[in-house]
Amino acid sequence: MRSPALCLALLASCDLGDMPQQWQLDRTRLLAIRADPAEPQPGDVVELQALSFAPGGDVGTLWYMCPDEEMFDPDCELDEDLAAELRALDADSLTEDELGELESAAEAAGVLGRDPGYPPALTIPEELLYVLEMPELAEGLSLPIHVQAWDLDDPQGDVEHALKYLPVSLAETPNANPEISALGVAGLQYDAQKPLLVQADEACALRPVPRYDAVETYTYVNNQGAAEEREEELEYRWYTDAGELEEVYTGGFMGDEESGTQWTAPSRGRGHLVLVAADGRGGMGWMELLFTVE
Amino acid sequence: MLLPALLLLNTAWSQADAPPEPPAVEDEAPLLALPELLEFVEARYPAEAEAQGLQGSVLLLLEVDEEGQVRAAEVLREAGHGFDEAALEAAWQLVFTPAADATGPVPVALEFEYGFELASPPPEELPQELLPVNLEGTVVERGSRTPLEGVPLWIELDGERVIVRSDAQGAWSFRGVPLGEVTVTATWPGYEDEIKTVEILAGEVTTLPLWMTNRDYRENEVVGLYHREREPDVTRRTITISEVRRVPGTFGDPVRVIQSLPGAARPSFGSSQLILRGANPEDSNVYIDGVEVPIIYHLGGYRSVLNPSMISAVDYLPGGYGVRYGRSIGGVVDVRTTEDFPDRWKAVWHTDMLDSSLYTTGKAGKKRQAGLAGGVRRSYLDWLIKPFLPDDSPSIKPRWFDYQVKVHSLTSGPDEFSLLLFGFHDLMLIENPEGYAVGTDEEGEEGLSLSYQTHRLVGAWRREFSPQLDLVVRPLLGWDDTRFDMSTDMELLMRSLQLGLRSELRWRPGPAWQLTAGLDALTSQYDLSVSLGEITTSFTDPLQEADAYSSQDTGWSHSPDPYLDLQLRPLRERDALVLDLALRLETSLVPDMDPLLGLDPRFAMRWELVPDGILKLGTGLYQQHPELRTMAFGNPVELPLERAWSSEIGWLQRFGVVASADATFFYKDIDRLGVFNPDIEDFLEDELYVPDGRGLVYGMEILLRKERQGRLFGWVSYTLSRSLRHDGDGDGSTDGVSISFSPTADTAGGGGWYLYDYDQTHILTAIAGYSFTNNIDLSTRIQYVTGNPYTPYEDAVYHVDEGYYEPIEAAARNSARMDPYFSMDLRVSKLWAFKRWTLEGFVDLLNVLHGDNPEMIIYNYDYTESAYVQGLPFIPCFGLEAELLF
Repeated sequence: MRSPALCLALLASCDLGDMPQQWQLDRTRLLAIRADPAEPQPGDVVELQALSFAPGGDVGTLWYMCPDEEMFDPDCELDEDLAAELRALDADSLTEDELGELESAAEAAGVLGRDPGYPPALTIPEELLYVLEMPELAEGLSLPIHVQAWDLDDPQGDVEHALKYLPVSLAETPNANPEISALGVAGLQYDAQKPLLVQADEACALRPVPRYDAVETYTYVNNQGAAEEREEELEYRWYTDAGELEEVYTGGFMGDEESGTQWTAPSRGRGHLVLVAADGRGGMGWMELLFTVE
Repeated sequence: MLLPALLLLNTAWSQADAPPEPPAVEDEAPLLALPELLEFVEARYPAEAEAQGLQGSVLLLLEVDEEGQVRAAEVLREAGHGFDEAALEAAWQLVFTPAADATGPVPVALEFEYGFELASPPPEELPQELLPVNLEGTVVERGSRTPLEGVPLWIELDGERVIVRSDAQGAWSFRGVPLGEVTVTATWPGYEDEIKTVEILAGEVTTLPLWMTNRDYRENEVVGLYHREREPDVTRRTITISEVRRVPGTFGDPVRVIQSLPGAARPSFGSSQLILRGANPEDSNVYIDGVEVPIIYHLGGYRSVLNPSMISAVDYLPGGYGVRYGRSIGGVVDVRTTEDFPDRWKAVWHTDMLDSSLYTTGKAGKKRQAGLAGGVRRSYLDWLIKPFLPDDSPSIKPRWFDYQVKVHSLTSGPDEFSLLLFGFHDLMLIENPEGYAVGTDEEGEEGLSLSYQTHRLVGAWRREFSPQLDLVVRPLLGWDDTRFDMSTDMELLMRSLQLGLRSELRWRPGPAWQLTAGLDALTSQYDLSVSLGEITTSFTDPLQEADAYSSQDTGWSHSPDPYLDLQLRPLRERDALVLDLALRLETSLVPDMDPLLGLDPRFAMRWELVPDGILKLGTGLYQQHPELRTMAFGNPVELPLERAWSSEIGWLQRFGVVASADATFFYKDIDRLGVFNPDIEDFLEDELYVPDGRGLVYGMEILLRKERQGRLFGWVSYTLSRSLRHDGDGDGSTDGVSISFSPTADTAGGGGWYLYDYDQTHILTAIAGYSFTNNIDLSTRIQYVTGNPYTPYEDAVYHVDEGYYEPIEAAARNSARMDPYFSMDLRVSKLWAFKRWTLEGFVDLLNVLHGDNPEMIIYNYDYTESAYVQGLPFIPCFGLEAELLF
């Protein structure tokens, strides 16, 4: 009861090392979801974008937000038959009527999009914040948005489920997504346009390079009614499909000086290094590098 | 000639099969008077053995009744050659003084060693009055220095044997021993022969101290896993010390043996939980001399918080107990401290791989009118563990400390006083691993720390106004301090100053009834301080901005619980039927809050329907204050008392004097449990807990026991049980629940009922021990336990903003089970006796079969893969215990 750490450290034995690690990209994954704007107001049109990964090919995504009174319920579910039909959608094989019927059913169920084919889009309801008054209006509400991801080559295969909260408010300084300028690898900076070449089994120090304005300062009225100036603490998440990473999470409450990690390159081949930044307020950004082992 | 030898080797039980009697004194000793031989009957010497010049001794087990007559006799250790039959024949005619405890004469079983020695020719008649003593000495037991009375000692003079015997002080002497070397031989049943040669010099008196080595020192100890059942409690199992300290896996701690008794579930390894009859560990109470303490085990559950030498008995009540105990809907464990103080000061030093302790006890004062005992212990696991941890692992430092001091009056008279001071302090410190500098503990070291300490000062005054009326008063002063430091701005601190009074007035106007009025009062001044740093309070919006949260609450709570107990013995054979009707008022009075009151009626009956067969049944209401977790944080609702209606029925059957079987069926219906509010959105504004929880526990316990008579002891304990819970999200009706012990939850009945986290369907424990004559003990424990229930997961949802996966349950809560637990432990110990001290070495070999026992399940990041955390691998644990007599 009082000593799980002792139990684990002393005598218990288990082999976590044999299990897949979170940084390991070895199956279809949803890594990040970004809304633009990151903190919309009622009536705004929001563009949604997902960072996903599948070992063999492209990823399909299905987006929905439960309608009406279930709108704020994070546990609400899309009818599985409808979801399966949408995942396996082949528009060319359907008649216009069938397609129209499917679109109507999807809209009624709160489906926001199905990518590829129907890029997700969301218009924030005008009346969403009617229940709030100041200063709660500045803090706003968070809308849960559900996303499913699957390997397009295998629509009957495993489905990754994810949940993203979209803050909606009337804040004077709404949140913006953090942008990543570059990814530091062994002291050099790389971006998506600059190819990364590494030696076989090379151990590299990785470091995020956020854009100058990625860390925002904002005003918050605390529960004592006092206005506070706060600064974001960016949390970083690291992923790769080749080689080994030391950690998946860096930065955040551990501070900026703990934002880097170590990566050991594989012996040969090519792969991806992915960095995701989250500002804790719903904003996200990412950078993806393609590397080649010399 | 025949040489009889009486040795009270074991007073193994005093009244093991007796029906319940009035609780005469609160902490009664097993026996106040031991049987003494009044009439000895000389056995015939077997002719064949005599012709062959054979000698021998037969160890008998005698059952002596309340009148001192031998009721049963059997041979425990054979000698052959006709000795066994001759000894048995004579034994039936022996007459003893009856044994007695606080209630009067009682039947006992005792070991009696009947020695056969060939008659020596009459010793040479020396002109004693003319010759001076020139060889003298003493004969004492090695290690304990106890004088041995009646020991025959002889020397050979001109081929003839001259015999003398030691007196009560162990002194002996020979007169007129010729000058030169002479050999003195001392023999005594149960001891190794002592033979010494000395030189007799002219004009000098030669002094020769003889130290005899007992073949089994532990045989003088009181033994037992008692079924005293003196109290009206239906299932009271009283444990005394010496035997259970030899049970493997207990590390010599008698309290840990509870985990090998019926009704006790197996806690996870490294856990100090006490799980009784499937109850939440927080629902069971632990006491020391009737005073409640928050925990009974130190960190990790390896050690109880009292020095084993200080413990005289452990009362284990998994359910169905009387009104003396309250504020609990689970079980009760009451550890009783010693009231036995040796005439000679004694020190005991114990050390093993976990900790070291020192304990001393004796009598003080000119007339030795005060018994004193004190102990201190400190663990060093924090030092030992370090080399075994990986370099990059957090440094884990568990440590504990405890102390006890007791003073007890030993004067005769109607008044008796005692004072007990004890306390303990446990600290789990996890020093910061690289890069995780998050906090500061009380010693200024960075890291996480959990600390709790308890101190109690307990007085006792016992007054016997008359044989019909007595009073016990126990005032209490206590201090508890629990703190959890996670970082500089995350801290939980709970402090409590306690004042208590336990009092019991007992009136026995006649043999047919007894009335007891008691008060169990406890007043606490509590100080609760919580600082959680910046957190979000919403359960539905993870993006809610975090705010600093802290709270402090100081106040008083009072719980003056009175109780009344009427005990009736309506039959002429008073002990044959005992009825117990009792009432307890549970109270919880907190200023500015509505008082919580509950009346607990309880009934118990014990009826000896056939000789040595007792029917036991009981039923009653048990109520407790809501658990601390449901009251501590931000819950604006005053929860009512949680309550359980508990019933049980059982049969106790004794077989002869050394074997017994006890079967008990139990059923408990619980309601008003505080459970998490399923509709909560914000824990600062909404009700965190609601009193909608239900519980259902039922099952059966069996204990088959062979008491330690002779050299073998052991027991088999089996529990079949089911523990269900309902969180109030269904209709809460038990209509759909069928009595079933299926290891899976498919019979839980639906409607929201699920297997409770502590449900273990089968718990089977077999223990056997054997004592060899050369002070070597060997014992083993085999345990099989159904695996713990758990909730399987079928999928997980990735929370993008926070970067973690939330598992999705595949089926009903706790609908799957881990693999069963199976373990075999061994313990070997050897005692060496020196002149003034003894040394015992032991080794506990845990899990000798290398069973892969799952303790918990861990998952990978997205719950697609899982693995068992295995329990102990094969581990030897060594220890030493030295006992020194001053």
